[in-house]
Amino acid sequence: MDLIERIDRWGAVAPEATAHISDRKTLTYGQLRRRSDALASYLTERFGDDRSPIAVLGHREPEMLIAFLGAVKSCRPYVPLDTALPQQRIDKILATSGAALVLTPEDVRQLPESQMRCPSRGLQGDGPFYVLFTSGSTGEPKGVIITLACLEHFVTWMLAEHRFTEFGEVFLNQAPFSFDLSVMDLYCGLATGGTLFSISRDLIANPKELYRALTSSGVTTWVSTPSFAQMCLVEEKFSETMLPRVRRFLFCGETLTPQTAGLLLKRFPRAEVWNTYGPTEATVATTSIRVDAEILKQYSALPVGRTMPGSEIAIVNGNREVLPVNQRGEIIIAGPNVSPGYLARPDLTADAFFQYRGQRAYRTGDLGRFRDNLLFFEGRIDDQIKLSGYRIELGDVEANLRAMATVRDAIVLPVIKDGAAQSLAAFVLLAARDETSHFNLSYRLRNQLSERLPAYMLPRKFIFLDAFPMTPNGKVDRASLAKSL
Amino acid sequence: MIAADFSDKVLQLLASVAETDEVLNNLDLPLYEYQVLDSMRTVQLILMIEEEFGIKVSPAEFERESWRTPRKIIADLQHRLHL
Repeated sequence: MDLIERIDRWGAVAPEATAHISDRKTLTYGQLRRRSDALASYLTERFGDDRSPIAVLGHREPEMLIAFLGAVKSCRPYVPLDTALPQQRIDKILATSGAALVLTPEDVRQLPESQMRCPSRGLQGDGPFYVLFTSGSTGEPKGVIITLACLEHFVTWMLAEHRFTEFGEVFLNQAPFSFDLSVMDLYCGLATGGTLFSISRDLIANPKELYRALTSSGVTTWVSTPSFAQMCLVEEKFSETMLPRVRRFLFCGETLTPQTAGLLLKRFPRAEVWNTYGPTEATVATTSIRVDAEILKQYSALPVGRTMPGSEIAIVNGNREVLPVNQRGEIIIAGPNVSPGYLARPDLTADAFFQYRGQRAYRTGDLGRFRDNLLFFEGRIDDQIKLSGYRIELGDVEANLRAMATVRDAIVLPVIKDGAAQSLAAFVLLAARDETSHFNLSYRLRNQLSERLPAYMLPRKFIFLDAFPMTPNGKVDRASLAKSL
Repeated sequence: MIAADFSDKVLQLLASVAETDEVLNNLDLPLYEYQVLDSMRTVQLILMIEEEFGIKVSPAEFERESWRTPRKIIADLQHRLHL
């Protein structure tokens, strides 16, 4: 039984069980099965042999789940897009993905009932399941293809490690579906007949409503970025009293600090705290570790854990030679969870993917080392950074700034506090002198840039210069700019 | 005098969280409208205020309207301190 059949089975045996809750709207497993079948029939009839991706544009609506499953049941991958993305970014993604159709929740709602029919299934293991777009260093987002086999490898591991109770779990869905962290809660939830509890960005923006929603959520498995949990922890009532059923916290997307883990263990004494690590190209997460009092006592920087069975992680040097234990180098991941590559970008695929000991492998660009049989993440070898779990190529922000008529040149750097990136700062050379106040100029530039880039990629700070400082070699002196922050 | 020192200190904390000095110059700047503050920065500010003045602001009872501008933040905190 593959993942799709597994999800569908709940629709047959427990059609009234709740698959998804968002904004007080619910979707049952029966509805999910019936309506995704109907959508699959519609897509097959409309597009025939054309297996181009189906883009799904929304914000955590139940219909997005119907659209995802409808697409894969018709043997087409889906491309999840969040409505928070600016139109120009969406247009770029659509152009690169070659999507045959953009489905919105409204489109799914309007799908006529008469077209309901069970389609024949045919998605093979190596068939693309979804394509997730991430920041690309040249300003063009790149689409990571994840196959059914990649996803099944990941979900099988998660299910074996956590032994989720069938029909007994409520998974917190904090990340938008366009961010691969959401794959963890979405498919662990659907594979076990669980309920996905989505919190919208409006709730996240309004703490009072957020805590109210969490109190009544019944969440048993918390899946979020560490920053989100850290934000929630500021409220003292965020404890077992607010979430009495929570049994585990699963973190991915960025560094989990011992402070956050320690506070969670204190406030939720009956819950487990898990740290995981992995890039989108290796399907959400490849390593994990349960962080308990012993681990907290032993390590001042938390390990990201052990490798999932069936996959392999090695630490290599610049010549891709494997380094001994305790030496720092680039993390490479090999195994069935590794993506076949980037959509329509054979150049980028050839750079990052290769064969390693008979398995498909990906060079992550992450630095790390093995110690005590555990992997430790220690930063990046390039200009990629993480902000609130979101992966950002600084070159992507720079390219989009330079593309603006008012900007002659731009350098973007992270503002580092306590060893972690807190925000972005842009050093800008304007095309023409502008007498507007610094604040208003920054605000205007930020607003213009928000038409091209998602909010998490927008610099907080703009510094206007007449010229960039240069190194003796004639290159922009990034180090001296960084020092000025 | 105490109130003026208090206001200055609050504004400095706000400027450091918001990463802009505009909050020092314009006390009526709509902080959320201009994206000077968001949820994450609001809780950072809540933490700094607790550390600096010992004033506890509960995020679960927090209303954005009460911190809409630098002036409103000062007034809200003064009210909490009964200054």
